[in-house]
Amino acid sequence: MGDQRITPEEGEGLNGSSPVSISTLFREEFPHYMVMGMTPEEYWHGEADLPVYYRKAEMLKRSQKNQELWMQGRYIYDAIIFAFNADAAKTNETGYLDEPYPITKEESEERQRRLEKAQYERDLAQMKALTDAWNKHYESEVREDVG
Amino acid sequence: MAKINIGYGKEQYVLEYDRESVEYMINRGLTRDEIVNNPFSYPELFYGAFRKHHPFVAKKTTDKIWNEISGKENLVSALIEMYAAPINALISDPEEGNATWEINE
Repeated sequence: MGDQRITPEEGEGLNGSSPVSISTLFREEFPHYMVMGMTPEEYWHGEADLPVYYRKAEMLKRSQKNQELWMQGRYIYDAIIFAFNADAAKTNETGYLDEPYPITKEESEERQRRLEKAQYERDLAQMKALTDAWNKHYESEVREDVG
Repeated sequence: MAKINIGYGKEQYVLEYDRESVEYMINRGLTRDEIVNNPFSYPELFYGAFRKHHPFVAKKTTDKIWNEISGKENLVSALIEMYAAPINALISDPEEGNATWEINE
């Protein structure tokens, strides 16, 4: 809702009974609810409590939008950091995120599980490579001794 | 939102206030002060509740129903609640406990 909303403190008719004031409240508030997506039919003839839910939905929408903007800024920030990071450019690393940031707790846990699994597989591969190398070395030493 | 069902003879009426009918009644002079200070305004409050679902019912008819109806005390409380609801929904959030208004008879 915009800055022009009549608040209970300012609303002339809320403590008095001027016929104009409640009508003014209704008419002043009307465009704000239309911006929120409320139809004139819903506003004038709909359930009395509907504006409460429209306001709550508006707050959720704003919060979601705020989250999206923050996220976008974060991605741009990361991209800029990479662009000006000479080391990353030299090593030809992509530098940029492989996937979006997790938003929900579930996504975060799932990502953590994936990262741990990937790390485990890397460790396993490294250990296997070491073992193979050691075996090769050992076999060649044995061969030399026999020879 | 609360509604009141009234049976009168063969007719069934649903009484309810919306923002349009509240504004209409305010323009007819049914202000909050009028309701608080003047019990003679109750038939008018009763009449206004017909507007949403039965806009063509005459005041004469609603007055007749009003005169014959019993349990007026509870009816008036319910009507006042219905009248205040469309206003309160704009000025406050019931869960937030902000300013709302009601009339104590």
